[in-house]
Amino acid sequence: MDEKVIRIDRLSIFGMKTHASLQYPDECCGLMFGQRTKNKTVKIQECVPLNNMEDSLQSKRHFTVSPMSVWSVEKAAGKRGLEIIGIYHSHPDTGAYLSKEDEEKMIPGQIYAVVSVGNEGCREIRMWEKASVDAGIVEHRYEGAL
Amino acid sequence: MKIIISATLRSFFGRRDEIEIKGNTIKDILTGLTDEYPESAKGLYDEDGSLRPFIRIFVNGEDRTGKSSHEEGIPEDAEILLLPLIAGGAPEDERKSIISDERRKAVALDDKEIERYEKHLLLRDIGVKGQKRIKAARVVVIGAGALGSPVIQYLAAAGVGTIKVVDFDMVAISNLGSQVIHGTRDIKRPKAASAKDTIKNINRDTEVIAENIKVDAQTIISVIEGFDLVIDCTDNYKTRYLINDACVLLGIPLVFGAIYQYEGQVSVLAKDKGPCLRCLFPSPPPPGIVPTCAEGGTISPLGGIIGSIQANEALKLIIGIGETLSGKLLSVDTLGLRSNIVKVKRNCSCPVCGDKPAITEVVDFDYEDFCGLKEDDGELPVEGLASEELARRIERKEPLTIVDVREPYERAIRRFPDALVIPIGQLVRRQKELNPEIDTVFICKEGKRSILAINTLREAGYKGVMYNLKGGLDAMRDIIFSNEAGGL
Ligand SMILES: [Zn+2]
Ligand SMILES: [Zn+2]
Repeated sequence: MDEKVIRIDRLSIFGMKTHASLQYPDECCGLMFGQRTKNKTVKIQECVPLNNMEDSLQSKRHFTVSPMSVWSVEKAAGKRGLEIIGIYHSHPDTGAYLSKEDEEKMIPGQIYAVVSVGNEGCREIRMWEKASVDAGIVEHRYEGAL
Repeated sequence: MKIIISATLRSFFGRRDEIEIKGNTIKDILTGLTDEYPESAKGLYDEDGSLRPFIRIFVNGEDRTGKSSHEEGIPEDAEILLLPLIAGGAPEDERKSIISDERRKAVALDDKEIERYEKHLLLRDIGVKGQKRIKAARVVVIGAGALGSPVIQYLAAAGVGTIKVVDFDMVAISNLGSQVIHGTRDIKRPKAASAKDTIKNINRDTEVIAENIKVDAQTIISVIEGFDLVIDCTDNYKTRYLINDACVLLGIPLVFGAIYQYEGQVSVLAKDKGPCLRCLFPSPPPPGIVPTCAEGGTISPLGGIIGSIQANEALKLIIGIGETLSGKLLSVDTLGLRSNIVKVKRNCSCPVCGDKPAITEVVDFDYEDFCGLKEDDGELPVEGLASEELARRIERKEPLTIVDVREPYERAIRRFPDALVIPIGQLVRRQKELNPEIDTVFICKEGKRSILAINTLREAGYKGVMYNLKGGLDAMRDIIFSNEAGGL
């Protein structure tokens, strides 16, 4: 798969980081919205936090989002002319890389952002995508834009 | 029937958001979708022909993904949604123990140990691996008093391989009320040696290093260097900040514990860039609120409660299980029997663990000054009075006002006869009770709070002659008065 150019605005990065820190030591997750343009550029313009459905014991290590809540967020964003770009979630006290579970449950065509978060705050954000069911997982570089 | 497709799954269906399918069951719909969009089969099903874990079918807001209801009829006007199940997780294997796998693998448990640690081995999250980590661990306990007593005994019982006990004090009879690691026969023995005997009695296999030294800026590094974990069981802020700074600088995690009267606190500090003591308490409590030069009283089991929590945190860190108190401060109030946990973040401008630390060496720091125990440079020096001199003046019945600035509960222990009692916090308000024409001597337990008292009054404009009893009441202990007048 060709590497995409991902441009993420600063507010969205800030939103993701804040969500990850507030939720720490639990895992957080949310959706990223924006626009896909023809020339392989993906713009991320909005991050929407979602509730983690996992119970308090599981929420330290796992996240699951209710499909109906994804649907309602998705519909609302659509009305603002934004399309879903992907999913972000945090890794409390662990690195920004995909876990085995992340890889297994990955939805093709969605960009997955992983926020590594610790006691001291956010450490790193990295993004991946599996373009189609039988494609490999590719890491995307991203740039923050104003 | 109209199927509405989430944007996350549209790539399987030529980016269509709605698809009309003939039929009236989920089975019909799924067949219809793959007939119309053959490419979508790969997206919807895995190699075994089961729906992929991220596919969810909702009918009128109800999850109908489960195969059992695929053949049930669906009302004509139902809202049918094809939605994603978004899920994932963090890597499991990083809930890291402070003891590396290599060190764990380097130790073995013999049959005797397997028998001894049975209760640990029965716990799934400890097991043989966890017990080996405990055996490989090297822990320093600073202070073999009320907190150190349970900490040291539980760590020894749990099988910690190497325990270093550091304490410069001797066992006194007044220690036996709460320091349960020592017994009556240990009175006047070094606490470190007495603790060592108790450990050996619990567990002969424990390697014990007993150090009968005072922890200060010169000794602290050599005391803790090369150890996996430090447990602060000391009783004063000066030492606590010193231990904290050394742990941050050497990158050794620290289990902090403190007790006072009926309350205690526990936290895990300097762990994986977590906050340190200075992030938690940027400055020690103001003098006069907590006696800084006297050991406050505590209810006997308090050290047992708080120390046991410290030992438990230590074991969690060693085994690599549970949620530790890193980034959190636990407070326990044993009178109301309440506890609470507050989250604490690392302070990026913290002088030790911040982004641009000002403290880079333990030696360079003036703890006396930091703890408010030293006169400021700008202040006039305080006139000291030796205990012998005070005794002489009392014997000669010279006109003298003696002001005891200790807290009420401290005075109950050892009263100073004929002293005017004004706790430090009330001094300014009650300065009219002092006669500026008469020399006034201020006393406290160790002669440090009394310096503060004098400076406070001076600042408030008091003009009389003031002396500080050097060494405090502790120094008066050995003075023998020739008549009953002193009556100490
Ligand atoms: Zn993950
Ligand atoms: Zn700090």
